Amino acid sequence: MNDQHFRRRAGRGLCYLAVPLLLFAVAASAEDGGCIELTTTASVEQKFRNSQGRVATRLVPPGKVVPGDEIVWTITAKNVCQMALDKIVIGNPVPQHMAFVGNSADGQGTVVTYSIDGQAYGTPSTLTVKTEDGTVQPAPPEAFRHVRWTYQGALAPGALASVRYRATVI
Amino acid sequence: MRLCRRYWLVPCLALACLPMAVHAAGTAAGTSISNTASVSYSRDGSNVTATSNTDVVRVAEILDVVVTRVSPVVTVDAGAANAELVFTVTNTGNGSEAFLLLPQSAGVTDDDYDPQLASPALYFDTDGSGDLSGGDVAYVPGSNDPVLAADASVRVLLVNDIPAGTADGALGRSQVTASARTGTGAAGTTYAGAGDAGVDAVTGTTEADAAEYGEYQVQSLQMAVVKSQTIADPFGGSQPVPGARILYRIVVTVTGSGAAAAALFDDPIPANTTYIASSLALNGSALSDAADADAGAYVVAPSPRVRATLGDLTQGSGPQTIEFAVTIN
Repeated sequence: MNDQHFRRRAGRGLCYLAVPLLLFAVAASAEDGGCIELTTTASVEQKFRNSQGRVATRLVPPGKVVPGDEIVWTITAKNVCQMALDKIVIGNPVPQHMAFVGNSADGQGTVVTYSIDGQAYGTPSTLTVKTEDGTVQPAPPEAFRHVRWTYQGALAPGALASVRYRATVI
Repeated sequence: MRLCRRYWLVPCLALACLPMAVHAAGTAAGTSISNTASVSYSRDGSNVTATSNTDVVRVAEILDVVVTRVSPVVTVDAGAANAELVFTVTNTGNGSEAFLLLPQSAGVTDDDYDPQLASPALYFDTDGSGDLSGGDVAYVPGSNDPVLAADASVRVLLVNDIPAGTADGALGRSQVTASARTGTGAAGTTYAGAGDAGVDAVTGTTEADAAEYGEYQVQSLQMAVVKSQTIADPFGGSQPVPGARILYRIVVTVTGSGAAAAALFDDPIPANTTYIASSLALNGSALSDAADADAGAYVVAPSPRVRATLGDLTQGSGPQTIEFAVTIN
């Protein structure tokens, strides 16, 4: 065997690799041939001085994140089809190592519900936990492990629905 | 029942997580927090589901350290050598970190005198005994800096000599400073890529630097023991003849500062005499001969003696008077 032979083989290997990668990329963009493009984005709040000289808050990509920091999770649904879509429900389990921040979930035109176990969803006042001594108490926000946004009405072609919540790194 | 069980799990989870957020270092440095959302919707009457991209946030390393004093005020004699203070150095950050330790005795404020740092002045309490002993390894800066996992701690001994002639009651301070090897600085100071697994390291509220002092208090405690005897012979005189009775009186007095902890009086019955049963008394109150709840006892083996536990004696305790009687054989 010589160097040239090696090079040829290596070249062919790259070709084989490129084909499945390409297929994968196509499949990912087409999703299920679906109509909603869903995007999850982490950001953090940053205070800054605006053009009027006032201190305002904006969302920026997270830099260094340490325990105790709050992350704003934004989920955006875009209707990429030519027809209106309805019965849209966006769901997100609160990530591991994070605790939900009370009253932080919102989304225009949506009804927000929560779940402790991922099965039963309800508004905060309907969710309870049982303490060690057996008494039933309203669930604290940290107990909410799943957030669900139910979109009211239809999402027009090309329209965006954006929802968000905050969670603290434990 | 099923409902019950389901809810039971949840508060346990919540309870387990909540204190963590307060007490422990928190999620480990380098941890990737991943999030993927999902959506379901109706298209042409059929239900469709899809998932989002997965966004990942990596947890940076917090540099934090706490030094805690384990020893209360250590009482020492003036001129004492190798007197130790015990400290615990705890990594309260969320990653593994090496710490530089620095001993200091001169210039620590609010004390009466400066203890003298021994050489070496810092040891690891390797054998866990809480005092300086043969198995304890000396600390050499830069050579065996303690590397502590998140929440882990190490016990260190700070060793000083006490100058001779230091006044009774004088208080001297000595301290240990621990600082993160990666770096220190005002909370939020960032060391790019210097954390575990290459994440950024950032100083926490302790500024990655902590100091704690301990105190040596000089105590000169003197204990005086004075023993006297009164002889009563069978003939109404005071001759030490067989059958004569000797009443011993011992007065124990403590002066100076501090306390003689768990002081124990122990006096052998003199040769050629026999202890007179039930003659033992402390401060005028009779003590039983049995080794029981009261402070005194007459002990037969291996050699006859009387004992009295006097407790922690200070100057304020006043003189303690022990009496017992024997018969000359």
